[in-house]
Amino acid sequence: MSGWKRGIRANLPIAPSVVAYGGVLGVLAAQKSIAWTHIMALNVFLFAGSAQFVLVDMWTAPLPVLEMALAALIVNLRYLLIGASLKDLFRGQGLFRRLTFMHLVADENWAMTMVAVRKGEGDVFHLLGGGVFLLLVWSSGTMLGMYLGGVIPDPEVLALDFAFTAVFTALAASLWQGRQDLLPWIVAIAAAVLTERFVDGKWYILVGGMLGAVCAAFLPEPKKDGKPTEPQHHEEAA
Amino acid sequence: MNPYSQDNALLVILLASVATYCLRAGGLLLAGRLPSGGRVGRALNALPGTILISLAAPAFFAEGVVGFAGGAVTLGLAFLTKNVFIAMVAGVAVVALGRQFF
Repeated sequence: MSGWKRGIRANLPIAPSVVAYGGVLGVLAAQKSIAWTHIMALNVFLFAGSAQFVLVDMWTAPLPVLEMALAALIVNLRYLLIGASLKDLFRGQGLFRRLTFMHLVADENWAMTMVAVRKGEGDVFHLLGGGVFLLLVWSSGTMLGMYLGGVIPDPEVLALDFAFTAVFTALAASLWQGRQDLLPWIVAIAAAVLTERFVDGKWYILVGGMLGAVCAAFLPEPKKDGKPTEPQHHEEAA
Repeated sequence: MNPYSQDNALLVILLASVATYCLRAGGLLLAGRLPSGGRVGRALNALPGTILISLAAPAFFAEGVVGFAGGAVTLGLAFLTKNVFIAMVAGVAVVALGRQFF
């Protein structure tokens, strides 16, 4: 199977969650009577769910242009780290691919590709295939939400707002490398929770991720007791 | 009727999009100057997991007992089934049910 197809297939299981999340965003945008063309432009050019939620939230006339742009920047600062983590995947690829493929990197297809890399079947087309697929699914979800307007009764009752938390948790579990991750994760969780509590905005993502990674850097090299430390191969249940 | 200034809306979309693209492309291009082994390598290896868990963790605490139950079910099923969708649906179902009772 080509990288493209594998990338699409890997992201298939999260499509319902992406549609639901996009649908909620569309409903909120419709309630604020934001033009569908503006939401669609954000889908294509910004292509970042959590930042789009923040922007729609701040979308009150007259638009605070600089504050909104800065908010999007802060929410998306993690993409600097995500981009850095893709260094090995893009090894040997030309500048054109680096500059174009990177636009379609979202949390989900990035995580799926990182998981595939650990299994030895990830490449840049896996990443791109997932990105194109997510763009279509995300756009469909937001447009569906705008069309349905107020029909979705109460997203909170259905716990749709918890869907992405659950997705990120499940994705984190699939990236677990073993016991050497325990302390960095505890540090990341503590730092993220405390930062979220005491600092406004989305800094907690960056602070938690960075401090967790710094912790990993200062732990001793994981022991290799004779066995190769290749990740175990689990079959996808999808 | 669109109560928002067309120009301002387009400016917001442009600025937010350009900033986000620069972060995505910049992260990759700058990472090329970092060594891949040693401490930096271990940090970069750990990053995907620590970012994801940092994205998720505050929501558990914000949600309280129900959030932890949902998170525990999600984690457990993710490890057991290796299936993101099943784990997510179960976690969301636990939270949806929990909100009815708490």
